[in-house]
Amino acid sequence: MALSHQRHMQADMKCLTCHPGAEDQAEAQFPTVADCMDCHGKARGDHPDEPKVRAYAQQGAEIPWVRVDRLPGHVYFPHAAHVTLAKMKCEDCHQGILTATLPLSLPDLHQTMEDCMRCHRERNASNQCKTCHR
Amino acid sequence: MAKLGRRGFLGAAGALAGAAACRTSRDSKKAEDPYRANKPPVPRERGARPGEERWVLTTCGLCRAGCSLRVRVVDGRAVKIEGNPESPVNRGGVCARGQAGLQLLYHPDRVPAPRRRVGQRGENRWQEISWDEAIAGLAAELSKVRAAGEPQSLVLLDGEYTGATHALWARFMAAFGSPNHVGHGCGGRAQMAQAVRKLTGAEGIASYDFEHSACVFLVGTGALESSPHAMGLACAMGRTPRPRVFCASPRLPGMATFVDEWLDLAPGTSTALLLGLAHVLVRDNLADEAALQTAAGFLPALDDSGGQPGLRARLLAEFSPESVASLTGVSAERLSHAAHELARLRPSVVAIDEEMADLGAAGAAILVNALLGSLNASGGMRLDRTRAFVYPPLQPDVAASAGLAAPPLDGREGRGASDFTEARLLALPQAILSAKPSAAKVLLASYSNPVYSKPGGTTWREAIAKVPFVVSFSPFDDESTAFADLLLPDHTFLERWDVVETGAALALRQPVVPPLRNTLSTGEVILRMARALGGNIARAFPWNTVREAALAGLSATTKARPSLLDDLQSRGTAERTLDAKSAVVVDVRSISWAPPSLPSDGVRFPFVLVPFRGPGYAEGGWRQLAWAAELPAVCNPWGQRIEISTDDARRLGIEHGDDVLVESSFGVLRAQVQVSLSVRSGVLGLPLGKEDAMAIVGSFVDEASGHWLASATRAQLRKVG
Amino acid sequence: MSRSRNAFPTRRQALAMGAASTVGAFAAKVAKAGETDPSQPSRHRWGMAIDLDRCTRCQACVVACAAENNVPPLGAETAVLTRPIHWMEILVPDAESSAMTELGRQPFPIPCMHCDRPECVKVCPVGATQRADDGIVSQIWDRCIGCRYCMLACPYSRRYYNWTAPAWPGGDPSSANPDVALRPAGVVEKCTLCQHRIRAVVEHARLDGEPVTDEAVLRLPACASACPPQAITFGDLADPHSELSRLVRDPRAVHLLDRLGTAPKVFYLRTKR
Repeated sequence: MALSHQRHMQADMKCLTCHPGAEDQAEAQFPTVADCMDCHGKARGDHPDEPKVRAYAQQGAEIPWVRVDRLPGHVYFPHAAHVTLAKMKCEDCHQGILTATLPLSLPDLHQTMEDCMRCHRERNASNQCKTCHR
Repeated sequence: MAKLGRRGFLGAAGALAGAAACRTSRDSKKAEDPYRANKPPVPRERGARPGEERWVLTTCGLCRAGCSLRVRVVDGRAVKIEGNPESPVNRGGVCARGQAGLQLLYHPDRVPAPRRRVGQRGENRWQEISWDEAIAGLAAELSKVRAAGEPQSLVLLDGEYTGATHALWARFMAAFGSPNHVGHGCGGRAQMAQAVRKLTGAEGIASYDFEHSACVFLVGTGALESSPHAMGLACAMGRTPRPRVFCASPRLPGMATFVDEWLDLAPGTSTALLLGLAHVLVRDNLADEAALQTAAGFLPALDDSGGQPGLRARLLAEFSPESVASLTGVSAERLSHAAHELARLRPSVVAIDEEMADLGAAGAAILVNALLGSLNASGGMRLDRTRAFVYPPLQPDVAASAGLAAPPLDGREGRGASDFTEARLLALPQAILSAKPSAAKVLLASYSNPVYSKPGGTTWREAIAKVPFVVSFSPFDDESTAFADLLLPDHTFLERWDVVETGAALALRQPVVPPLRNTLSTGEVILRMARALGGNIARAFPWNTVREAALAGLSATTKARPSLLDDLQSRGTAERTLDAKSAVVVDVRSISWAPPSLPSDGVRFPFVLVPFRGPGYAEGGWRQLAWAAELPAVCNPWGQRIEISTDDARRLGIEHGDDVLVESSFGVLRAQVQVSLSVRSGVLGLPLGKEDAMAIVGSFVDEASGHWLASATRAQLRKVG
Repeated sequence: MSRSRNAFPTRRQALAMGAASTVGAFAAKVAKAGETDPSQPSRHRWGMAIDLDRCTRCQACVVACAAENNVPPLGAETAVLTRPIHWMEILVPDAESSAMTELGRQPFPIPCMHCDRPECVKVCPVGATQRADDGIVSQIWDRCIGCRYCMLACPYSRRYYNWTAPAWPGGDPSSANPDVALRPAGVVEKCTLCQHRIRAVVEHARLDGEPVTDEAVLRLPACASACPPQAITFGDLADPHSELSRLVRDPRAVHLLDRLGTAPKVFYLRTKR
């Protein structure tokens, strides 16, 4: 399904609308089909792929989002701490996402551990190992 | 907000020429991340977000305590079991086995779908069939039996005594026309249930309010390890001040250091010990005055009347601590001391367990509790229990009526078709083998694996092999399914809906995840089977789902307690209160206090085998609970141990860890020796759980009750090689 | 009898469900706080008390820990080759044992002691184990090279080596806790005092703008939560009003092998008989 983040940002949407976990949970979450249906319940005629949303909803299925960015299993990244406490913007890390016209098929996060630690040092956040390692 | 430097490097990273290379290597690394569990996919729940968690209230099924649980479910998978603090049974705690329940749910050996046997029994060759075929196949066999005018040739082994499935089975057997609904209980709990019925007229299983006890006197070690009472006692130990704990048993678990005093009791002598306690209470005027005068009466009366000796006189005459000491091995001083502590630290309670119970001992325990004023009292033994599931009586058709009138195979005293307290499981193999009073044509094993869990050596195998048509509902392949012709796998307890009854509460059981395999709850199978059989049987089950059927059975209970379902849904549990009019009359006239005569071939078999269920033992599930098999308490994980006293070990030249053969007249078992300071001389402690352990234990029966004498088997021990 | 349990999951659940209301509440608080909360050295000093007068050695804690922290069983074949991994172990002092007799000769549950002067940290050549500012002695799986010096150094023998890769029965790890990483073969592991749960509680408290309450952490680690007699108490030794601080002053309190100077923050309560 040709989800275009750029198109949704042009429509003045907020990241948190579809990824509500970013504010108060570790995972940012993906939208449920019910979330999409809030706007796409009625055909908007924007894109040939748009009816697919309604098709999923009608079948009672969730949209099978494919996760492309995955931290190693021993790393813990809490969105809430970064978005709400550190007041970072989504695009600070997810650089390519605002202008993406297609769903991601390759990872777009390229931060290394050193990148994270540098920012933590600058912002006086903890650099103790266990803060980020499970 | 962000400083330029950070933004700069992030931007640069994005534009790195080597980005493509980085991506590739990261992809391949991502493919096998050794730090992340590679979980098989599950269907995504409607409306669920990835990574979302929810907590589901349910009830554990690994023993009969009925602890209420909260199960954490993430991404459609159950990942942690916690206790429900609302439950009076476990107060938020979970035992070692309960925690391991997840291993049962996700075990690879679960039967994935209904099966029909191919080839000979025991070849373990199956053909997977659909549920429709399975139900039709079973209904066809049952119809044959009805058509032949022999509905009583249907035998049901029922491993549950509470909950919707059990209630539905009872109704089915009544509608079908067979009195042979045989409960699986044959040990201490069954003895106690029968004693409760005979002595007090109350229905059902005794339970204990250890939480409020100041002094607990245990006969047997189940409450220290894995009996359903263990949770209650463990929770009570968290109280300040904690209860004082005595334990009278032939062996004490090495871990049970919290027991204040161990009375090393000779096997099979619990009755004498308990009557000795009663003697001291009466002799030293320690019995509870209020109990004697108002709340409890005794039959015969305590005092002599009308020329008849009273209960007091009999106790004083026959059961002095000195006279029982030679039998029990417990000195008069220690017994007297225990009685005085029980009287001093009130409320106090006596609880008797599996391997030490015969009918007389169970009755004696009730008597002592009555003398202590602990029957149906706070901190004591709880007797009254009205059944939560009550269906309106059904009218059996002509065929069923005839069948129900036939003598039951287990020779019980002819009460209701499904009465747990009266069914005599251990009589069944011989009845089947001899086809007396009649032949068994169809055997259903629900929540039951008798070949594995019941004593009697090979008799269970032989008996089941003789039945022409055998059906099991086990979720796992086990020793009994090896003889089955049809296997209709049940859900595990984490996948089905039910309401569980315990002494202290009703508890909700509900699926934490949708069924993982193509299994069906046995209650559902009963409904479909009834529909397939048609006629009066179908009319007895006018419900579409188990939940509907269960709610119908609960309607009397919910009418008396309108908030019940809401309580169950929101809290997972609903406490039961004791009936205010819970005065009890204890009638000991029908109980024999003569010690049961035990076989003794003391020359060839100098030891007495005391089987027990250790901390990792779970109902039929020990083998699937790997964490329970590798507990620290177990000195050789996955292996078979045998406990022996230090004196006996020294005498036989045997050391801790030695390989030995344990031989009884029923079989031989290879085991590793565990030398222990807390095993009585002349006793071998046999932990149950591993496949062959129960095979060497005999199914000696207490004549008075028809139930098992657990510590009656004798054995010999010799080193291998 | 009101007993607090499972505060951690309850808070998490409440946050997940009440996200909308939480947003409003904490947004206001954060706005008041102004800038990003500057990190300070943790105000906490986490410890644990195990009351041996309550403990029944039922071993619920052992399995609760294994379930929470993805410590898979070894299986029948491997279990005879090496000891099963139990971050929370029940130590049975044998008759000849001279060490750790402060508790008498009875078996006792023993997790990592989270020493304030940890021997393991001193010897780790790669810094895989560290004592954090909140007192938790952490073990970073990815950094560990499996030299096992730390296992030699620990006087309590509370560290385990993964001789084999984690294997679930039948290879199905569906019940693994997603909050805790698996450890491959070649890595040493040990109790973390369920630091992933502590981290979640501390984070949620920061998001709420509230302090971490003693009630929220009293039974926070999996072992403490499961224990039927509530023999295990967790808490903040830096908080003089916490239950744990009260217990450390109890005359029954015993710190194992104190004479070695390890300063263990996990201690026992025991009435000498």
